[in-house]
Amino acid sequence: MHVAWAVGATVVLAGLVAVRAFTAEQLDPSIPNPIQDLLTLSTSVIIESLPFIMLGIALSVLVQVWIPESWLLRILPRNPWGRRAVISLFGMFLPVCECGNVPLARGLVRRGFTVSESMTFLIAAPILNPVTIITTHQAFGFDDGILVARLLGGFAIANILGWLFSKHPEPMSLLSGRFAEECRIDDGHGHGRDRRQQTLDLFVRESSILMPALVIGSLIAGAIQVIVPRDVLVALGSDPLFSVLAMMILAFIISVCSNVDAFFILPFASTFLPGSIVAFLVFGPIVDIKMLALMRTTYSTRTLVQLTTVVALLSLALGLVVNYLA
Amino acid sequence: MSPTFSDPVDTTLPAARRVAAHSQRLREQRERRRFERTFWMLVAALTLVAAVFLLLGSLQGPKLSSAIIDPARVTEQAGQQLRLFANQPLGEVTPDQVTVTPAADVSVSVQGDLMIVQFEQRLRFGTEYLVEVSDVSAPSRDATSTFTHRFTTAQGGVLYLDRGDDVDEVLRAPLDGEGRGEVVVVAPGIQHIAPIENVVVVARDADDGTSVLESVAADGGVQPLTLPDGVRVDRLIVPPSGTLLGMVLTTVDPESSELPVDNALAIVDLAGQGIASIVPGLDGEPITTLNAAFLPDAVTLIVHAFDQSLLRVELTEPPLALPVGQIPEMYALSTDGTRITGSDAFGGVVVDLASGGESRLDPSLVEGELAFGGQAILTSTELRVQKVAIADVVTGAVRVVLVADDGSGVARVLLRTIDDRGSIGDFTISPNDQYVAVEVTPSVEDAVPDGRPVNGRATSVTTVIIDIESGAVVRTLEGFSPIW
Repeated sequence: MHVAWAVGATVVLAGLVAVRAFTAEQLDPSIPNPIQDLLTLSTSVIIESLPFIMLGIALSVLVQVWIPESWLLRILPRNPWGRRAVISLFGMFLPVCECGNVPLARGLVRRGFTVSESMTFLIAAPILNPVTIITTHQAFGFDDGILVARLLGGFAIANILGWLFSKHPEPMSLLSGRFAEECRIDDGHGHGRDRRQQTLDLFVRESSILMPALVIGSLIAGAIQVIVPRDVLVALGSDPLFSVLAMMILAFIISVCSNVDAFFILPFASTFLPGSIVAFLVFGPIVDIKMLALMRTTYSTRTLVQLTTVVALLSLALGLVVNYLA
Repeated sequence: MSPTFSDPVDTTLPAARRVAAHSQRLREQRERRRFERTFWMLVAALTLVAAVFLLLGSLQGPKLSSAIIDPARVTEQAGQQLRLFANQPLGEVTPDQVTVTPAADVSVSVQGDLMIVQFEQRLRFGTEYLVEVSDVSAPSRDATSTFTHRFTTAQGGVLYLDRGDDVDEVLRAPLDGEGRGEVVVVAPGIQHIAPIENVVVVARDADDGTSVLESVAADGGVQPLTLPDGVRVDRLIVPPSGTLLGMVLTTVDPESSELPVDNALAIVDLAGQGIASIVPGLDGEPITTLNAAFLPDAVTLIVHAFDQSLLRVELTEPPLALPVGQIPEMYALSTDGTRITGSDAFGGVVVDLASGGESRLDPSLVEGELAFGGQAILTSTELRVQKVAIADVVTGAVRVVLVADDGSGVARVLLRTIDDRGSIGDFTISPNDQYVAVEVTPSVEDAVPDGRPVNGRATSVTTVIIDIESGAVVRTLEGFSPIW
């Protein structure tokens, strides 16, 4: 069945490429500029995210199918704070950006981690991972404490949110209905099947859930970038409050991956306050249009509203603290 | 480890179980309310933190994040910049907001979060400077702050040549050090030296009386430079920066040469192929050169030719030579590169390179006595350093001293030899007008020539470095040809 789908998709793709190749001369390429911009921006987000999504799904499958059930849980501290602190450093060994962490976080829940622990991982890993640290250092060095604030801020936000949601009396109600159902089914199924078959099934299932979310999120992000002029955001640059808010809104809209966001925002560094840059680098990897679309596959709307509220306030407070101290 | 799911209360269950289910539901509701309370308390706490830091942030002005300055270049060239990076875009800043200690003239400009303080003059060697910019604000905010940055300029130093019996040495000596300094080149028969970027170019004796030209890197690696056949290097002309080196060449055996040259101006680009080429004059022939100096742009030469004409030679491709004026003798280019000192039949003269205008260079009284002016170098201010001769009206003896003359009518003596038995040779002023390095032969009577066919000196020649402002001797080095 999977093979048939794969062959069918390949044939359709090859057909589209062939049509494009043979009719390039005849087709009128005069697509309106806003549509071109929309397609370019959306495609760039998809292209940028896709490798990490695939890597994340692969790691998720690896964790769920190939790593012994008790191993991950056994190596973690028993103390909840220590446990979450260690989980928030998982990204150092699983260097994928935020898009790839969603399937991995889903895999961790299925593997027996609590919802709050998976959330801690999901929030911390895009920031506390070697690729992000290196690119941020390349872009800013240690100027204005941006790198240090990003790392400490990411760690703090992940652990505060982990602590908050660990207080929830019904953790499964934090999840989306569909994902909670999958977790419940996983509890009693799949253990007897062939691992390779499980791997394939999981890969297909995760891909079919996450890819539409990625495409829709990217299209929305692209559309808002086309509609909202960037000049409007930049005009707010030097105000201590509005600069932070503007950067958080920018991060929310553009949905750029945490591995490259430092380079994206570098040109703004001479116009915006350092705290606003930090807010961008902390808020964006956790909450943006694309991530909300992806996280909606896993968490309930209410959970996402609460998560977004706390992350936004923490990012704002962090930005203002950095603006004051830097 | 998987979380449990609560089931709705079933009314068909026995009463005891219904009560248990009811109390379970109440407990869950309590826990849910506790979670909600925790959530809102966290939101309130974060809002409070944000509000406090927003208030604090709105009360403070911009902050200085980092600063960049080249402590060596700022002593070598005017127009160097101190770059102050702020934590936010800045509003306009005017020069009267800037205070520099010790005093120095500056201009200031702002580009986004970058404030540029430009020093109009070269700064002093080894001096701690304090730059304060007051009332700095962001474009749309009232809160102001003061930017303060301290930096210490590089210790100056000279490159000089110390000739030995078998081999000669080129040394680099800092002003504040002791001993001879660091040996950077060791080679036999060194005629002239020139520091270019990170290398030292040396002209050396060849067996047939000609010269070889070599570039010596810091690691000792030697790169030969190509000269026209059969020439001797009479002089190297050191640029203030860049890779173009000027020189004056003479064919040793004109009769056996197809294209003999005599005191011809030539250049070599060390960034290029390292081949020296003769610079043509207005008539297309080599420029027969008496003296020459690079202007601050390092690509234009002021040349004093044998026909007493003063030429501005732009080292473009092809070079362009333009007449500036006429002067019988050229002493030196001023340290700011704007004027030439020289002499004519009536005494000292100054030629302004921008206007071509000439003015007299009359020496002031030295210790109450009339002086006769000799070689002089102008600084960027009114001050000049000049070699003057003073005649004893009783004995008729003449003594030569080096003076600092600000044109006020009274000159200060910077250097005289012991019992006036010695001689004062060439001298050169540091790019920042702070020091003068003077070649001195302590006793003319006892002087023994070093026997070199090119650029010969007495074996006892020393270089004395003097602080022009205080007149203090800061360093004495055994050697000559000091280059800052």
